[in-house]
Amino acid sequence: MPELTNANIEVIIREVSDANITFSHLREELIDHICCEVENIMQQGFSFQDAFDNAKKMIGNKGLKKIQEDTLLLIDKKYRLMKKTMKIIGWISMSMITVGALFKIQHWPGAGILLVFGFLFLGAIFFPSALWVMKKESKLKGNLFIYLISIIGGIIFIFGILFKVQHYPGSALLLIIGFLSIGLVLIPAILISKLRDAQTKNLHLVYIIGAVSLIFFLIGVLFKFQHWPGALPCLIIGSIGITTVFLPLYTWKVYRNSESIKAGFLFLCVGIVFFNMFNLLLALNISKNVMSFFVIQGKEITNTANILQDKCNALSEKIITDSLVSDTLLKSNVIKVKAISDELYDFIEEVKVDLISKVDGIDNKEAIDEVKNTALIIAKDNYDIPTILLCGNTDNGKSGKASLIKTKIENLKNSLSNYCRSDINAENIITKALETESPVFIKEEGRSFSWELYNFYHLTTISTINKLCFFQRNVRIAELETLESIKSSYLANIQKLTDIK
Amino acid sequence: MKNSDIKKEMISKELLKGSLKSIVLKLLSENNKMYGYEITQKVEEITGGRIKLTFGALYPILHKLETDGTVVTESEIMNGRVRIYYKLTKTGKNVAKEKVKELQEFIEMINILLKPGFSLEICRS
Repeated sequence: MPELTNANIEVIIREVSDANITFSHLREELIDHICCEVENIMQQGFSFQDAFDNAKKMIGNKGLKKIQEDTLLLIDKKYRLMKKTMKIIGWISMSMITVGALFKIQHWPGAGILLVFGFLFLGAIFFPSALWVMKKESKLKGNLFIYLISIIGGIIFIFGILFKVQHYPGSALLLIIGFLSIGLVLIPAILISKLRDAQTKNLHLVYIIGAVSLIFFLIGVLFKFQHWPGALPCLIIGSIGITTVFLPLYTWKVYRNSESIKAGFLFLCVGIVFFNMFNLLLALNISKNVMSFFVIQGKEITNTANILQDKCNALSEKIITDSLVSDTLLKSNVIKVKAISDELYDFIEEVKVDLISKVDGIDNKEAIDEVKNTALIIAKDNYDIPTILLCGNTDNGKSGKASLIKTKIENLKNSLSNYCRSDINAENIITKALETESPVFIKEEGRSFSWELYNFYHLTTISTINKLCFFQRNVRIAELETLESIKSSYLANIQKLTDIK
Repeated sequence: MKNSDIKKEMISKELLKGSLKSIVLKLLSENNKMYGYEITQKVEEITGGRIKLTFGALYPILHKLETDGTVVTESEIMNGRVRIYYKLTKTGKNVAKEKVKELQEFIEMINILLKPGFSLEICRS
């Protein structure tokens, strides 16, 4: 019987170690079993390498890992249960989240419920059970600390994402805690245990580069979410470190020994592509220029609204104070038109102040200053708070202030139309200026967008302010048109009277 | 060894599955202590290669027997590596007897079932 040299045995031990077998004395047994098999084949005159390759074929891909799994499944009832739960709940939650995301994009009802339950299953059941199974299979080197942090940090993180998607308050805090626990506790802890296990010095460097870039990347994502300055450099350093330094080095180190392309390698490649896509989308920073464009646009709309207001004021003043006009009903109508128009204008102004004070976390007085000069707004590109304020929490977007604005616009439209009944032209202009139907193209696309969602869903703060300015301007257009109509019908009546005389 | 010939005649895994435990216990009751590879070799030797225990099927069963208290293990260092031997416990010996008896009865039943024309006999009686 040919005996294996220590170097030969070392090769076999490494093969088994790679499979991460930790259960009881299974590791020793498998090593011994493969050694015996190799010796047996060598007896027929093969070299060690040939015999070892042959034995590996017999084991098959993932064969060793499978034995441990089968053993655990046979022995451990709890493991069996957990593994089943993990698989079923994992599948259910993933499909719920996917379908929920589709519903959310299409604005179909039920998106919220699907997402909430999907994330709930994912965070509260799948995630802990998956970690439990992982711990059982690899024992995580008995490191309870890593295990606990990954459970707590991971759950907080998953719920942070859920809160963010659903625009619930408190998402920021959850995400910060989740990111910090993952980035500053979990990753260093895993790094330390990896360094302890790593066989060569070269691998140490690879792991350190990987961990540091990942931390940079996570901090970048966190800063991006929170609109803190400095997100971009972190994201760039992180993604460059991960994709151009860590991954090539790691894949080279790990996969250079295997002749055939493994499925794991393919997954890794696809993973990198997705990772980079996500990264690029996130890093696509809205530049300051774009923001100042929005500020200027808003100012122009406000200017137009102010000019229209001046015209309205001048016209109503003229009618009311004109001593030749003796019609008191006419005068009271003009005053009413002005009052109801101003009421809606002021209501929208209040919404703006409310929005800015919420977005920047300031009091109403400071917010009024920022309404006047929108360049001062800090979180111009936040869209969570505007969406929640205007569209509320429901899927149809009707539980926020946008619904109130819509009702008020409709009321104003009806009242103003009443003042210029005989004047079809004026009525048309009022209806157009105070339109509250969703545009036709949305219906043609077969989507059920409400007016509220169409106008305010996922709009940044600065765009929301501009949109509100736009409605204020339209109020003035309608007001002016009504006043003009009242005036011209009065003049026409006078003309008729003089004609009769 | 003519591999291709053996493959054709090998007993299918499906048939083997249920009786694996009994086979292992039988072998252990006849030998004082055995290690995993030895068991697979022994089975192959006795059956002339027609029954091959894959180690993927064997080790889960050995570990199950160990947690049930049917067998105990002892380790020895052998040629620079650790070898794990399995040995029946006192209760294990009884379990082995029972299991072997059970398997024999099963085989007898199968024999009756497979006898040609047995259904006619039952009809007559």
